[in-house]
Amino acid sequence: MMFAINPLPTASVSHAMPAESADHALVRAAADGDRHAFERLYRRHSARVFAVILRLQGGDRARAEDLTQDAFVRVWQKLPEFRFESAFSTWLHRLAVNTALMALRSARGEPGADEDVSDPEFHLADTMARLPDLGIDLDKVIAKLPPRARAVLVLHDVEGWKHEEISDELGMAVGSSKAQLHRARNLLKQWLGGPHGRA
Amino acid sequence: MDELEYRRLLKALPHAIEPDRDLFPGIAARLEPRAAAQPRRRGLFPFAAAAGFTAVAIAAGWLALQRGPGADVPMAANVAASTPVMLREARALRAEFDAALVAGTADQWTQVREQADPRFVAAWTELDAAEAELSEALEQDPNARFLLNRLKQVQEQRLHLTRKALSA
Repeated sequence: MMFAINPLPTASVSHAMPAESADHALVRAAADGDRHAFERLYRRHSARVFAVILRLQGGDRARAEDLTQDAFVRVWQKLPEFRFESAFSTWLHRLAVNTALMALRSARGEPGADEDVSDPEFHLADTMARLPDLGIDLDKVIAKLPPRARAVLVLHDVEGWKHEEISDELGMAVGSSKAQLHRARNLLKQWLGGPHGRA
Repeated sequence: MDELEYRRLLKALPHAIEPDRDLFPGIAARLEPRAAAQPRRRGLFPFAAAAGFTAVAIAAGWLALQRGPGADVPMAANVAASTPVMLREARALRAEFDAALVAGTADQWTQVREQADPRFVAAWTELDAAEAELSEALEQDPNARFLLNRLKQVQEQRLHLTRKALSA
């Protein structure tokens, strides 16, 4: 038997606090073992989590789906540690980013040393030669960045993280984070404004 | 491409992207039971407790609006006198819902949920969430009759669903 539920009216709830209160109530229940409350948390936040993981994984949807599942399993395990001192969405977001970045580190097989910004992957000529016509799709272009540069750009320019937070998460110096961001932005702008993108 | 155009493209990026499939079943299969799960002290049934709480929340919001700022009247004293008819109707429906749940037992209810058709469980989850969100909305806008009507519909659906499950 299917129960059709009409969409709720979206008017009236315009304050940030009610959503956070609802999250905290669900977190308390889920931390106590209520899987239905946890599912509710998942439904509220999965799209946001998937988006950041997808971008960090360079657009690999299948991998991003696996990592989104991994992230929420970790959330379930760590929920009893949540202190209600910040928004649950912020805590969840950081855990999801950490999950995605751990996977990138494992895939690359390196412990997190600073990526040399003179790495050949940054060489414009080589990169442009491999680049298909990406038009003006910024997500597709971001996906072509080298993994660590992509991570810095996504976290800073898309997600709004500070360099200090990025450097902590990626295990690099703040200066390296800034250098990665500068190079990544220049690369993007050249790709988007060059012969393989719309001028 | 200049900085302005780059910022424009950044701003246009979606911050939420839906996966191609429902990932929760795979997540649920990997959730371990809590190591030292405590029984929830929320009354005999979680829905009844939540329903009762939201009834109070709705009444509190409504009363705040009725009283206006600066008034200092105990809530309980004002409830019967100022609660509009439609709120009393919603609360009567909730009381009926609570009575339907109390007719069962805690163990029976737990068993019902664990063994129920997943579509029942999914519907319960959605109805729970719907009532919570409607209640929050009513707190912000207690005069919104359409919200209260919708809340009543959700409660009726939950009552119907719960009776069917308990009688199965």
